[in-house]
Amino acid sequence: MPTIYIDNKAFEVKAGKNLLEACLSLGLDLPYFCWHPAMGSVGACRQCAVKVFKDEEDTRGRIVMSCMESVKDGLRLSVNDKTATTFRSQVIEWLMTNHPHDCPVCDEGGCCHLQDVTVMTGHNYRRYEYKKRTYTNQYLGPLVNHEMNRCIQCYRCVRYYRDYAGGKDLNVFSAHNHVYFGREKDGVLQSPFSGNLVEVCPTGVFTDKTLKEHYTRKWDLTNAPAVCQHCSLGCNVIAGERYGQLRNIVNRYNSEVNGYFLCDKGRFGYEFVNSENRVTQPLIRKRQSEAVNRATLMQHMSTLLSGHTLIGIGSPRASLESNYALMDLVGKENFYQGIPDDLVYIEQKIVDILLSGAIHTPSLKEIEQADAVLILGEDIWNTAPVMALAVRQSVMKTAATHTTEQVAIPLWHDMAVRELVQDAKGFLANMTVTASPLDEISASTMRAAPDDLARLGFAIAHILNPSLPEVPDATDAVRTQAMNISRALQQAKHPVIITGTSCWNNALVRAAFDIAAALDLTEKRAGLAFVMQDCNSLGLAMMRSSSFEKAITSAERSSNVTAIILENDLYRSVPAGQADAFFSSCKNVVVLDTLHNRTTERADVLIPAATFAEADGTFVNNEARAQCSSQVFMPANSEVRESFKWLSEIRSLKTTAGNGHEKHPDEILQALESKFPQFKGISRSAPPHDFRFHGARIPRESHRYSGRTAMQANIDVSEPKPLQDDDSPLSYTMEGYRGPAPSPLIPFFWAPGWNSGQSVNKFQLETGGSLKGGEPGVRLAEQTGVTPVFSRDIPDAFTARQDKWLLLPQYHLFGSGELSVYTEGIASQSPAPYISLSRHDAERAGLKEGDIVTVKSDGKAYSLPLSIHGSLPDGIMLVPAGLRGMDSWSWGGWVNISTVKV
Amino acid sequence: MGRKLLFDKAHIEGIRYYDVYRANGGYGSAEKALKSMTPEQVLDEVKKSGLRGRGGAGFPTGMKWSFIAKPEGVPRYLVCNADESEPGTFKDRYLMEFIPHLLIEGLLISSYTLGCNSCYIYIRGEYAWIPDILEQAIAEAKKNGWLGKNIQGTGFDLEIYVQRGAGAYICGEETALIESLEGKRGNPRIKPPFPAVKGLWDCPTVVNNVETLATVVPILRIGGDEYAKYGTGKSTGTKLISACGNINKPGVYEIEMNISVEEFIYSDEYCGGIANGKRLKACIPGGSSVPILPANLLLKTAKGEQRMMTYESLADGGFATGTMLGSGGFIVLDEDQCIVKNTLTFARFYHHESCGQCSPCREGTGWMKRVLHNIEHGKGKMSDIDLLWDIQRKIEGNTICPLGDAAAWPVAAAIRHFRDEFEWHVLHPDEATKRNYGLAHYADPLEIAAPAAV
Amino acid sequence: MQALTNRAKPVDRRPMTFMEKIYLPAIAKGMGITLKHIFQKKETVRYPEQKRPFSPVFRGLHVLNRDAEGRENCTACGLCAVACPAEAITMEAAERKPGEENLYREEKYAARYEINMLRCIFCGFCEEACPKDAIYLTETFAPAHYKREGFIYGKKDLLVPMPGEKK
Repeated sequence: MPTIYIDNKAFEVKAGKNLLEACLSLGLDLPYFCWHPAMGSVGACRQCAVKVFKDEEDTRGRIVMSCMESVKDGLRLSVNDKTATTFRSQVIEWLMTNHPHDCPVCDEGGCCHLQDVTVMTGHNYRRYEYKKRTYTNQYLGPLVNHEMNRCIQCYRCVRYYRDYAGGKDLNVFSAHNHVYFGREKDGVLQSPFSGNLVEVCPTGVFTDKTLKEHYTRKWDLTNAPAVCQHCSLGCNVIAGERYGQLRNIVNRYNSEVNGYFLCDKGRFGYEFVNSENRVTQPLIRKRQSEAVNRATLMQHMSTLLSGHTLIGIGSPRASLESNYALMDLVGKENFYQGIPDDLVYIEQKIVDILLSGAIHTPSLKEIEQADAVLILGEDIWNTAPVMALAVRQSVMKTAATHTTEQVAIPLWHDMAVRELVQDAKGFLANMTVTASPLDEISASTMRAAPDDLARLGFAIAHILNPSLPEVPDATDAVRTQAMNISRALQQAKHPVIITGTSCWNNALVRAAFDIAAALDLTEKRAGLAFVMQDCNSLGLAMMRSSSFEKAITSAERSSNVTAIILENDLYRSVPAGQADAFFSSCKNVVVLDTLHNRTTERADVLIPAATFAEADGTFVNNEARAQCSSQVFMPANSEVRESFKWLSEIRSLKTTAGNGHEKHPDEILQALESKFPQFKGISRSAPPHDFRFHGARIPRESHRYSGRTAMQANIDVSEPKPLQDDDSPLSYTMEGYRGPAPSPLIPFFWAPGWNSGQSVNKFQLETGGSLKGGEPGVRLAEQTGVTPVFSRDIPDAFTARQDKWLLLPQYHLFGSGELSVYTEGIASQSPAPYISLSRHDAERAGLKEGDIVTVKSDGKAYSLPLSIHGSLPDGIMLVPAGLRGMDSWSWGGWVNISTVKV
Repeated sequence: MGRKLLFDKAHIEGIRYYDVYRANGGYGSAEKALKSMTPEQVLDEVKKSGLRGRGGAGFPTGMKWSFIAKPEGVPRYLVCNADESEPGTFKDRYLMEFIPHLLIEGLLISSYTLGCNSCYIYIRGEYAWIPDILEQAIAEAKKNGWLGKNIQGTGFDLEIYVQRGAGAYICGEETALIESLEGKRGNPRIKPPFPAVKGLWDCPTVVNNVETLATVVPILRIGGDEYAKYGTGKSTGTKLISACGNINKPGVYEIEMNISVEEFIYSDEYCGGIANGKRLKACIPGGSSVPILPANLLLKTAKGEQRMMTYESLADGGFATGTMLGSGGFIVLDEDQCIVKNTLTFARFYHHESCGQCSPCREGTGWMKRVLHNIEHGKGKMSDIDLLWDIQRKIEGNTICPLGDAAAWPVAAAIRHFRDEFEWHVLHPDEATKRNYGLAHYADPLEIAAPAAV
Repeated sequence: MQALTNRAKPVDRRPMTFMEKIYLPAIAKGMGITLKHIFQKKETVRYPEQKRPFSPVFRGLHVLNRDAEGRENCTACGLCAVACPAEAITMEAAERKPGEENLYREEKYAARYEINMLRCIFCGFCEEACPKDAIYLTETFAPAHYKREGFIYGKKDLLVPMPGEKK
């Protein structure tokens, strides 16, 4: 490790870094704007100037930009040198000449990097006395607000948006001190990662429009570390509350999962928590007064429990605690997953692969670092957007690494590396049913039916491992493509294969496993990543329970059935006909859910459940990482409780053994662990509820939290006792331990002098590295070196049938989420329902774009307009999945078109 | 009469056209190079000539050419920087407008030396009519077998493309020029990588000024050694100077670098003295970005020596008492000119042309412009002069590309040498809007420190 | 334990004498003190008819100011709340909509602004913190209320009346 001398003090630093990174990693305060740990240096803002000396004798030194200088052994620099500090404050003075100083009305005020840096440099007196330049702002869509006057031209936004996230519609215009960052004209930002601009911008040019609706300063928020609920990746987020409303979501850095960035669905899709559609009161239907209190509910429940056959339907979006509490209540044999048989089968396959220990499943960070990626079937742009962002980084970084191996330029030297790389790209093969925005960075693409994609996968596996069977009747085109892909994968050191469940095809999973396992045998570390459907799909699947079809059979077999459905809208999870069949064979239906939906309409007893923001819970993400999501706020309405609390209370009715003591979530996890060995270690995913620092808890509120004696005064003048959180070491106060918290319990990032999200560098071992004390979460599946068992069952080639189509779901990033569409801005970008056919198929059937087509699925007829899809293979019908109000169809089945109305 | 190498035939009627140019010995050097010399031999001649880049920085051309990377199978490019946007400089315009074939011949020889088969002339947008002249000359040359495939049967191929810029000064900076040529926003690149390794379209690229490339023709004609005999010391050969301002005969002059500044201003062969019988107040000898010098320091160095029109002599004394030859935009100011106003004009130009990438230049130039505007219009304060000095000092050397320096130097030099004129503007705001400060003491002979007694 | 002040006085526990037992001298002595005060200058004033002059730095009830055009100055930036040592101020911000420019001076305003006067210690930090000259402490003090709810001052209590408008 090289030694550098900062202000004549020796420090050991990591080689290959730049001076800015070295200083920040050492915990020094050095201001910066254009540099970003995920995007490298361009040396544009000149804010991070330090003085570098030739040797010990050199007293004059020279000013350099620390972000542009490599660490060299014996290098001497001064951060506190007078010339350097005056230059830094001069830069701030320049940048502030045109800044409007409108902090009081700016959403960023209080968590603004520009404020922090201005204070840090000591600039306080304004010498510029002329008029400031002004701009016209643009409408950038319902999610991101634009206020160009605040811009300090650090270029981070365009660098992030264009270079990092691959967006095209944000750019820099004009010149000199009139440069403009925006779109060519007003319009919605096209990139689904545009929300990160809010955090990337060091000041308030881009701000969160959803926060604006119910604005709260960062210091006034009650924060807690949570886990995103909108896809299976389990991105870490910080959720903030005030006045009983969830106010915003910001990124919670986790170097192995989401890093610095979230997708727009995760960042903005939180409004469902504040929705008017929330279930707020226990209801017992078919009574004079349906709304009941807790005592009446419990009385009623005890009559429902005795003498009835209990069936529990779990949920892939409920926490493990809640699912286990339900299983505990109804018994393991009566607990069903609440998803269709086909999906259970595929997920079981994935669980078997992961738990077998035969293959490594990469984290998102490892995907970013992969040097060749093969996507088999999964439309990750829509089902796992942050993974798509990681794949994009892999493609870009691989090319950059190749280049920097030839020319001695460090990777962080962003602009130089980009000049060298130009259009070169790493290897990505995107093999999907339809076109995806990832295609433009793909070296190889294929549009085919899932079975054909799986056959391509098996063909690749055969080339990599000739002992595997050859794909019968493979076409030459497939052979050539398989040859090309396998060559690229073989050349890579860390290839990653990505597949998932969105094609409802198990052959894809098997083929992906064969490829990854075959690669793994050749002394390289291959990864196999799966994309699941919901935030806890893998956790539920790991409980290895039966499918919904089994629940129907069971309900039909017995009489007097009481079904308890946990946070699961069955009409979205299973075909509507099946849901109807199930309900008709149940005598009583008890539903615990957060929002009213079609399943809660069928409930005889409806129990209000807490959302993720009001609940503690553990979720297992797609890489089998169990992560704890903490309660952000206690609902003012005491009837809204975590499902596992309701279920434990109901269970205590049944056993009459309850001692009135509520089970803490970590105790539930311990019980789960002891019952299911596959969850071994899960109770370590977060510190236990009684964890304390010298008796002190970790406060959810910042030390600047305001209005404590006034907030509730309009309701009750007496200041209430602070809320007591018995389930976690976090407290609902400003008081408590202010030092470094264990990483799963960091409620928000703040350090003295660093009020913005940039303060995360104080929580990292090194800039852009892992959090001090390790990343949150426990991986439940690790590679153990078990010999893989290859699959040899190759599906037949897909053949389009006469007048019948293979029904596949099309997921939409904006629209397919059950919860995220409660955010107005996301709902407005959701497509209208449609039925999609290939151009050739449509022509053959004599259909035109927009014709109303009626399709029967699972006994129900649906009429939707036809949308002709250019890149769709023949013989496949695509229908958007999970749009608001749309039923789930029998995906993977065959349907025909019954009537057509022009 | 000074010896001429570039303009020796400029007076000939119709030299713009191929036939006249060829009849007067044109394309002789190209013929010699292509048919009887290897690229290495040509490079040797250029090295021997001691030719220095005529764009402003004065970097030895032969050395620059020898840096070009020569990876297998990768094309190399020669880019002719005709983005002559420095205020006061218009020498390349003359060359391109009146002797376009000289440039084409120079490009041909240089491309042959560098092994380029494509060559770009990046010409400033405001020279709207010149691309037509160049295109016509290129067409003529092509028709006569001096461009295209298999030139004159030597097997060497060359295409020249003329690309118009959109009028940004910053695109004269070689990396910004390359970006612009690639169709991107003309922001300077950070070096390394240098263009000689990764330039245009990621290929090795040499960017040279028009005059530099044209000078290759006479070098080959008379030989590198002979060329080196012109001029003085390391300033070999002749240089085009575009003289303007308050002189009797503004225009483009080819000078041999062995005459004095005084001779250049006052001799009838060149500028012909100050117009209207006024006295010389100050001069900016190398285009707007080089430091301005008052008359006394211009004609004699601080050591009391005669100041010559060479790279070295003009730079004598560093920035404290010297200046630079730069791009040869020779701007003369007589006693009626206001230095503050002149500085403001330059500051306004540099502010407008800042690309907006790095903070010191983007924000600093605009600020300087406004402060100068206030001083010029009688609203200045004494502290403004110090403020100006402070701003320029923090800009200089702290920007990504040299535009920051170019913007800072004129302001620095104006305050350094003409501080009392600035102060007069501040102290007499009303008077300053009506009349000029005048010559004052700026032409007074300098006190030369007596040599120390031995 | 040592006395904290030097004013500790041991209690005299001796039985009372006859003179003390009849109390008359003590009553006369007490009446004497009372009579003496009748002729002395009074320490109290007859509030509310009579009012004491305030010190020039007196800090009383808060008001929320308007600008010269009658627009609310407060932008709900939250600095007063964060400066408040009693944590007695809370507010909710809202965005000004087009057409409301005559109501609010800047693009944000306080949709709700409450001060708990029972908690307020009238330190004036809010006034110091305010970047918009919106909150001022006046020379009036909080009136009496029969219920504690009356001491929760909302925007309608705090905002100075529009010119020409009666509060």
